Amino acid sequence: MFNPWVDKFVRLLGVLLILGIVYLGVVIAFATSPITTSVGYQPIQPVPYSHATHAGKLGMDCRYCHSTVEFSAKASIPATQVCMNCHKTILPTSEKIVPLRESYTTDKPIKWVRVHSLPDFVYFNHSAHVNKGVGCVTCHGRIDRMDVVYQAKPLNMAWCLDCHRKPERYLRPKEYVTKMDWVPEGNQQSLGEKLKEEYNVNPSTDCWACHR
Amino acid sequence: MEAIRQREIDNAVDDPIHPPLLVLGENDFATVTEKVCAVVEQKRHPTSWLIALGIAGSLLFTLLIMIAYTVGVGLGVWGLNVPVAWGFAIVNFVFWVGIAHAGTLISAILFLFRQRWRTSINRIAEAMTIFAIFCAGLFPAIHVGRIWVIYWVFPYYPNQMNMWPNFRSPLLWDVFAVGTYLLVSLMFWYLGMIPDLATLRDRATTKARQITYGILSLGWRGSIRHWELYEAGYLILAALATPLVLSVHSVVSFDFAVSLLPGWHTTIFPPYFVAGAIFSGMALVVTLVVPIRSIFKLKDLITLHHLENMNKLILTTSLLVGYAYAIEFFTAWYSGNSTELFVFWNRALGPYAWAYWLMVFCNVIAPQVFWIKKLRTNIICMWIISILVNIGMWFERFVIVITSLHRDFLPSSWGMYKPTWVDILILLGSFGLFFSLFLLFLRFLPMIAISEVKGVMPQAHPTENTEIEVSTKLKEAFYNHELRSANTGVSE
Amino acid sequence: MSNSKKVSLSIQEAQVERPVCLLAEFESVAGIIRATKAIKQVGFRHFDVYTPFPIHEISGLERMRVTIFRWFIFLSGLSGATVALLLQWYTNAFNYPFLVSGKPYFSLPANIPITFELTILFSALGTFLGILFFGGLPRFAHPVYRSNVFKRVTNDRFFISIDATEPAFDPIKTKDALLSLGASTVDEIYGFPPSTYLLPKGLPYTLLILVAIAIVPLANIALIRSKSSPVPRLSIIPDMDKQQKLKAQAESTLFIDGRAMRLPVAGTIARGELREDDHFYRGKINGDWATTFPLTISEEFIKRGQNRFEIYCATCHGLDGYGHGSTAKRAEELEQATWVPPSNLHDATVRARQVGHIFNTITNGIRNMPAYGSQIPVLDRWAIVAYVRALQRSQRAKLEDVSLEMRKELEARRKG
Repeated sequence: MFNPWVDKFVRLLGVLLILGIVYLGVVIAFATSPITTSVGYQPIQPVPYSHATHAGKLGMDCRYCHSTVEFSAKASIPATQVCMNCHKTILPTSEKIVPLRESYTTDKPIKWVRVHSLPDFVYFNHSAHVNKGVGCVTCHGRIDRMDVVYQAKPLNMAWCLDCHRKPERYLRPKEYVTKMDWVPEGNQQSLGEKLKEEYNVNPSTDCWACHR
Repeated sequence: MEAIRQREIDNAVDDPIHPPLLVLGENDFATVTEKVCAVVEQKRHPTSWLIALGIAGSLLFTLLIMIAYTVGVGLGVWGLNVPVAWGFAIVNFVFWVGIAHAGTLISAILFLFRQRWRTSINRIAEAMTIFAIFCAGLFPAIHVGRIWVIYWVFPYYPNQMNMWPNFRSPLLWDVFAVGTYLLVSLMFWYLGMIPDLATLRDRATTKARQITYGILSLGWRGSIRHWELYEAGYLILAALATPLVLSVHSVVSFDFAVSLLPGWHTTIFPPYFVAGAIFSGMALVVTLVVPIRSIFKLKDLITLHHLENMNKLILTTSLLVGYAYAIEFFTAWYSGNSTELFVFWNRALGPYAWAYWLMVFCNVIAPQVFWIKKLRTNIICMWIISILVNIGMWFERFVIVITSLHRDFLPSSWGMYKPTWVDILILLGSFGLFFSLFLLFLRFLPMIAISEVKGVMPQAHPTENTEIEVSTKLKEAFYNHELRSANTGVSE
Repeated sequence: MSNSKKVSLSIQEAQVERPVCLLAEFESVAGIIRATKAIKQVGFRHFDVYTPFPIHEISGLERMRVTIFRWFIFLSGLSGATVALLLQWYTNAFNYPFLVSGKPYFSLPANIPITFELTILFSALGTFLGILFFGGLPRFAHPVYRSNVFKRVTNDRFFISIDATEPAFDPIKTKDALLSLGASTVDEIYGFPPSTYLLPKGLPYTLLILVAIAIVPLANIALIRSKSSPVPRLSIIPDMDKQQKLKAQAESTLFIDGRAMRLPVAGTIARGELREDDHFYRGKINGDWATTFPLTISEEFIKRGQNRFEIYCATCHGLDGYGHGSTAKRAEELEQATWVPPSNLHDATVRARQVGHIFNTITNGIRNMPAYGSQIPVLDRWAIVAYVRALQRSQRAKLEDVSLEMRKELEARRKG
């Protein structure tokens, strides 16, 4: 009924099955990884604003525009007024800032597209982090090198917990939170442990720390 | 109709010296094979089978629609609410897991106890077990509401939440216990079926059957070298399944017993649940086997002796369950805890007293008729009692879940539980799932373990002397010839 | 040469012609038991017996293998227990120490159920797979199937096959011997023809196509990872990711201005927001610019001022206050006609300003300088004023302003 090639074929199928399961695991792992699904989101903004120019070249502090970051949950998108602080007189007629002028004269906010968006059941607080020595760059990447901002970090739960469980690997002195190119002098581990003690950093890993 | 009129032979005798025959009538190996295979091999589907499948299939279809409705709209379509946040889904889950216990009891425990009468019903009971676990597993899955995140109950990697299941939770133990039980039962069932699938393969007349059963039987050729491994393995599987079956319902009972709720928080729960599970499982076996043996003309193989033995087990477990009901009240009284006492008063006399007394009648009072031999060997009587027991055991879980929850510590939050039409259709639908699978099994797989039945037939144990003296003549017959050149591969 | 080739060919042919085994059929259980016992006693090894159900009288051919098989099951069970304990320890006590009601992270009693279940599961898997593995199953093609009578082996007949590999095997003599043992028939079983060993021709191509298809998803993932996309991120399970609630700075269709964030109703003042302290909130005392700070100045306060100054002011006025901030430089580079260079904070006019006036300038702007009242909280504005004062002072400091020790150091530095 069955010829001997069937047995060979079954053995081959067995090998293929094992390979197939491994392959499927690899594909699922990579396809569902937030590095594939989340990182690299780079929406087109209504104004071709460049962080690389303002934060990078001009060296403006993040907090000049995102002025609520230290005392509020939100870092806040700056009001048009803040842009016009300079652009009233610098490049006031530039093509690029047409929407800016329109917003300024009509009193209608610019519809910036949000890049870093956590699910609505996650309550993240910026002030809690920047006041305890978590740098902007840790979660947002090198914004000062981005012409158009994109999501640089996965921002998934495992990634959050990675730091919440062992914060000393990421802490920096408070005065350097906005400094994009800060690197620890010496050992990050020992510095982090010192700062953890000094700032009393005991991040919660309870569910309700973020899901309220 | 001829099948129904088939003569009933009374072999329900209890004589340890002359045990009753397990295969009746003028049967030899070939007719046993023929009788079991005929069910699978008949060209046309029996009308009764088609009607049954039609009913079961439409119930299954209802189930699928209701699951889609529940998942699509949300659990709000069920009758769950505070204070009764565990309702039909858990009742049905425990009910079906309980049913699932008969298979392994008959296949494994009775096997270890050398109860040879298990052979003709073990396959049916094992199939029942597997399909019942499917039904049981369905309920926790849809109860999570968002069925697509059910994978959270398993430890998996890569893990994007960096979280693991809580291995100290009885609910997770349940996942492992029921999952293990399903896999072990499947292996047990399939392993036992391999020789019979080979029978179907060898009898196949069409290419399609030959290939299908050929693949399923894995090239089984009945070699005694294989039988040796098979028997060693089967015994070990039985030995493994026995503690497993006891653990499964114990773990299910932990879901209740480890919570701090009067009515649930009792140490008697594990044995109480296991006894109840075997009780309900045996009852469903009787419910199923009684019509099957007439419709498929298998009265020679599934005899009154088999049925009587099962009824005795039902009677025994009924007494165990009745004892548990009584001791629960005793514990409540003896504890002196007013909350505990209230729960049990409320059970027997509260708004759900009707369910409680229905349960007591079906599970404790009705099976007592089996003390009378005439009644326990009466087909109609045992069939009715077995159905009553099934109803009673469903209500037992209803009573445990609902009456313990509906009046909790705070009288202001007391409430009643009313299932919605979705709840009821899902319960009915689960029977559709069970019976659809079961009917397909009856028609396409060997429902009786042919090779095992042959092993308990008198023909398999020759009474004549099988010792043999090897004479020199015989030895010569095997050895007295020159070694031929082809044998050594050298040409002369 | 040609001669020897011919000989070897004929041997091959002869081997193809030779039966691989003899298959003897028996009709009764007693017959097969006797025959098997006889063959065992005669000393044959390369034989097999086929029966429709196990017959214990003739088992025991594979004692060694069964023993190994049992040990294999034991090891499977042991590995199940190990996996379970490691899994529970790693997940709940090591990788994510999971605290439940203050109980220990890893305690055996709580871990028994899972360990028990996995031990059983692994043993059962070991048993099932062991039967297949040690029995050489599945084996779909076996020469004995080539006999037509063999089909009854799963029904009511019993068979013995003696392999041609048995040293004393002889197709004719062995057949006679088997018949003398009571076999009803003895068949010569031939091996499969060589052509039946060949896998289907299309197989390599099918495999190749499968591999090609398998590359597609991986390549796709690699492509996604290598570039950014303006399409919103993919949420695999988007439950409640986007809820019907308004978050800060979100859009709302409810209000005509489209903003979710609302201003207080006109003419109302929130509690604690009356701001009646003229000195503190507006830098004025009785309508005149205040010349004093509304609070005591500490070194810490000035440092705070410096920090804020560097964020908000230095970009135009420069870190030193001379008006050469990065933005100012950039504007000059671009030769902006509308651009007015920022004031030098060390000018006499600025130095002469009252602190209340400077506070007001930060709050409401002056000439081309925009208002920073919305960006900088009141207290921080005062801190900046304090720092501006310190900055101004620093540029015209005298040697007497510093402590004696510092003086020495400064003088030493000037010389060196």
